[in-house]
Amino acid sequence: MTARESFPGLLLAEWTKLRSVSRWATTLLGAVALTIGLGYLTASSNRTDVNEYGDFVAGPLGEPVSDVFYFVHQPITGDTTITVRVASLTAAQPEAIRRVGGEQMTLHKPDSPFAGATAGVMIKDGTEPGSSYTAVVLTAAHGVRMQWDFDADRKGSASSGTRWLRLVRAGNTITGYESADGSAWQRIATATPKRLQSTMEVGFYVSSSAAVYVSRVAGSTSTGETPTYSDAVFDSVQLGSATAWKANQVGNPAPFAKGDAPQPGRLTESGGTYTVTGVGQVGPRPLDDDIVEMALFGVIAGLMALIAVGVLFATSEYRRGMIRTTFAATPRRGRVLAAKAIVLGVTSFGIGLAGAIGSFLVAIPIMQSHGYTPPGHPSPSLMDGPVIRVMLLTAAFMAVVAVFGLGVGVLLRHSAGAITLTIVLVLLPVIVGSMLPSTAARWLMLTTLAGGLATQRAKPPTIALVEPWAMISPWAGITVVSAYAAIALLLAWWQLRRRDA
Amino acid sequence: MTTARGRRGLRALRAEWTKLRTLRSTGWLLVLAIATTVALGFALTGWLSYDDCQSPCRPDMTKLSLAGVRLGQVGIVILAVLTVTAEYSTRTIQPTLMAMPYRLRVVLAKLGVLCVLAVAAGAAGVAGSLAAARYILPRNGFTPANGFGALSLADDLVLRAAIGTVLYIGLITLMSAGLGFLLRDTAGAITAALALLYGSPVVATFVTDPRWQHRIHRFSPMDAGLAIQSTQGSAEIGPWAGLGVLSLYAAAAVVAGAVVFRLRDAR
Amino acid sequence: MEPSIEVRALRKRYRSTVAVDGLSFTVRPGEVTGFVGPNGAGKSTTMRLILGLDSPDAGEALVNGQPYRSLRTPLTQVGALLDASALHPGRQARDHLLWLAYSNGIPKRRVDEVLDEVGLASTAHRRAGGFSLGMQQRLGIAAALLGDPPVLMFDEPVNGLDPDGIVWIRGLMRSLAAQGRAILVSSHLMGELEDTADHLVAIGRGRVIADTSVAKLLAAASKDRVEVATAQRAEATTVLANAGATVTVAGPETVVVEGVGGDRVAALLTEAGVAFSELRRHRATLEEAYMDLTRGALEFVPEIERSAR
Repeated sequence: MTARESFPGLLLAEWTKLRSVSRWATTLLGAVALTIGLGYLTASSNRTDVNEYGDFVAGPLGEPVSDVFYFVHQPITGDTTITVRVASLTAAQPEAIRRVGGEQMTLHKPDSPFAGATAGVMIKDGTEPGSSYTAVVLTAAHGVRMQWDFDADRKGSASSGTRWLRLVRAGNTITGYESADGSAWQRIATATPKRLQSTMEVGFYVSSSAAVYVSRVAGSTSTGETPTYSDAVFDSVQLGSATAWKANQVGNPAPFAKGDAPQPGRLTESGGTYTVTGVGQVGPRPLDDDIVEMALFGVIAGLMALIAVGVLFATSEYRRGMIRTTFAATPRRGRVLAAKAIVLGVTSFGIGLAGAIGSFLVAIPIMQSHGYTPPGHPSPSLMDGPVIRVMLLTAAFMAVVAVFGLGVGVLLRHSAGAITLTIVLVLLPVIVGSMLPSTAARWLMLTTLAGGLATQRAKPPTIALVEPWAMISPWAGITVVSAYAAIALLLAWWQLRRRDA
Repeated sequence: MTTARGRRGLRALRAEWTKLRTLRSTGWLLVLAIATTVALGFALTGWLSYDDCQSPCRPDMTKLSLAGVRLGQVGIVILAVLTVTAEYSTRTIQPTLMAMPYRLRVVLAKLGVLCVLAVAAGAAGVAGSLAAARYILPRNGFTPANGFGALSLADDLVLRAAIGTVLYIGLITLMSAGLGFLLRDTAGAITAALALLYGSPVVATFVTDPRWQHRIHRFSPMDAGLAIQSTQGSAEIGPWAGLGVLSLYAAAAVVAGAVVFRLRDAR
Repeated sequence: MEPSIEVRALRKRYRSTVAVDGLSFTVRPGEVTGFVGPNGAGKSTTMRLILGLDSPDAGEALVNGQPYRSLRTPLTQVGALLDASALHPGRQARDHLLWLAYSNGIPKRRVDEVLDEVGLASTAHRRAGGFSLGMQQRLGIAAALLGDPPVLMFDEPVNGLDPDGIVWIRGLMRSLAAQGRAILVSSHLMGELEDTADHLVAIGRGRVIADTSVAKLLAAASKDRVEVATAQRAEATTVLANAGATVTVAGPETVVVEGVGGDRVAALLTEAGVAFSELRRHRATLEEAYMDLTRGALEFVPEIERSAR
């Protein structure tokens, strides 16, 4: 070979091939239209009134939170220190299996540090539910934690049962400490809560998050909650103040079934020892729906069109033997394949990105006019980190699947088979996954192209996992899909070198 | 059938049957359809275990064992589409129309032969799936001692599910072939058929409004058509109504395809 | 009903191009009718219209007095070779003929008979995907002969055949015509048709520009042209041009003279002392005739020479 083939020249040749077939160009544009169109349809067909009937309030950062607990407190101005010893924490023990809402369900063991029974000290900006706070708590299942503003969580020691806890407010920071004996203190963390007024409510509290029950029958998941209550005994309460304590329930707990609990919370005091019964949860309360994901519903449809083009970009060369011309022009077949993959990938990425951003711009305002507004659904913006990630990863997902289609097209040389294989690998696992137990569904997501659908989620998933692909992280999803494409391309390259055109 | 028309119809059927049986791909696609149906049914029932089953434990075993058709239908769809679109891509549509210029007869002959093959494959797939389920389920704890009888065609509901599944296969064959006549392009028709069948159930999982989910399940070809597999009345649409919905899709595709075939130039 | 193909005022447009514009001609039995014209003239379109594959915008095409689509068993009335590669690559050659036979109630033995006739008996069980161009042509011819039809149409039948094959098919067409069948052969290789066809229908840009016997056409095109073989080309040209003749160079040592009779040419050249070795009447080729036709230099009113035979 005397002439040096230029790779950029090859890229240009393949790009010319791609854009010059009017049917493909139409299909690519159709992919964008399908994506946006179906996103519009979903948005129009979804309504919610969760902001009126949901059991959450708006937190200091605008996100939905649950702020329900029994607070023993008094207002303190300026810098202060509060110390208590949690003598015992008797956490609620909900039944393992229970009839909830007419259905038999199993108890779900949460692993959030905001869940379960907690007892500790808190400095709060008033007693309005949703107001900014800082707390150091002893939890039933996660040891000692320092938490603030329904979002931040720092690990303390792993002890349980009994512990000394302290909060020190100094200026506009609050520092949390813990101790085993009341004299040697370990610092946990320092917080800068969103709102730190000169006068804050300072005190101690107990909360007991509701027990979550789940029923997974092949095909659908149902969840239900029943409230619980927990007791804690506080003694050695030290606060440099002689004012009397006030005690009240913050927030509205869910009603108990008859006979389960006498009243939401109570306080009994005897000689400096306080026994508090608390109900409710202090922590984030994300809703299951992810409106960004919902806006991108049309991606599935646009993806079908992209798969068709990707496969045809490969198989059309075999029709009427055009492949011989191509390989005569460029004997190094790997470079041809690489050029095709790059041209197709970049084009599909652009198409995918256009579709995704277009869907976002069209669907989000519609959903917001249908009730998907704060506090339940914080307003997403194209500048948000998670949203940018969703847009880029979704576009990447579509591009990579198209390239996978290209590889399969080269391998099978048969457009019908290649299109079918790719579509089935994307869609069938979703359908089958919803019929299987969650471990199986999760495994399916990690091993098939369907996992790429996880790229559309902006929020982490919640307990009520309806969609199988929400079970894995977006990065896992794009990795799976990329692995498929890489393997397909490698096999295709190997095949191209081996056989006659 | 000794009328002249009847004779010509039989000839067309014989010609189309000869076309199908003289291609190796026909056999492979049918085998693929049957094998994947049984395999998926086997896998799904294999996952079910009495010990892991949450009480009350009443899974719809019939529906689960026959769910393999969701994968197996792919082979049938490809066969039905190719039987039509390959005539365009290889240009054998020319000798076909030169031999049988009355186009409606060609459509009916192709559909007839395809349906017979599809129904046969469907019956084999259903039989295999049920046999696999009968083998596996007792081994997974679903024994008479635990209150579960073996899956049997003597049970009305199981029989209905089995027959309905075979009918389902016949209807998607018609729908796919109709799309082939309509679009005349292999890639296009296959993408359209698979998108229609697989797209709508996935669509439904995106929609959170339960009314719309319900609607989509009611009107999506695969979900509506397979409602007949449900023995616990948990589907969104009645069993025979579901097949009715699928028939509408099939009829629309066939009619549209036949009209296009009749009116347009044979290119 | 005598076997025949009749085309009347046929018109067909594809998008913005008028492929066939008011075409009328008849193909008679007992002779080979050549259908001649350059690529794009409308030959294949006409054949597709006759066979009912496409619908005309105006006019009609009748085979044995009937439109194709109303024929009960068309393959027993008309055999056609349009596109030899219209085959499924995965199907055996014999099976291709088999389904054609079944579709028209033709007995199975005919399949083996025609395979024998075209020389494909040994490759009958090979899949069509492995056929060379020539084998595909033969298979297409076999398909046309399957129903033993009285009317046959061949579109570019010698395409891909080696010289043996060309000779064979020429003989085949002539013998079929001799049996009283109506044969229509189209080609853009006019030299090919010259030796095969008895009658000619020439079309250009969708219209008939000649409909006559080959002999008559060539005679008219030849006119009084005279071919002179001479080494002194330039001198000969000058002399003859001065005498009012139109002179064309036809080769390194050949000129063609038009407008002056053969005797006079001889006289002129001898007078001028230009040596020449040969003087003969120029026989026009079909290409030349066609060029004349399209140039309008040679006018043939259609049907003018259709005297009864």
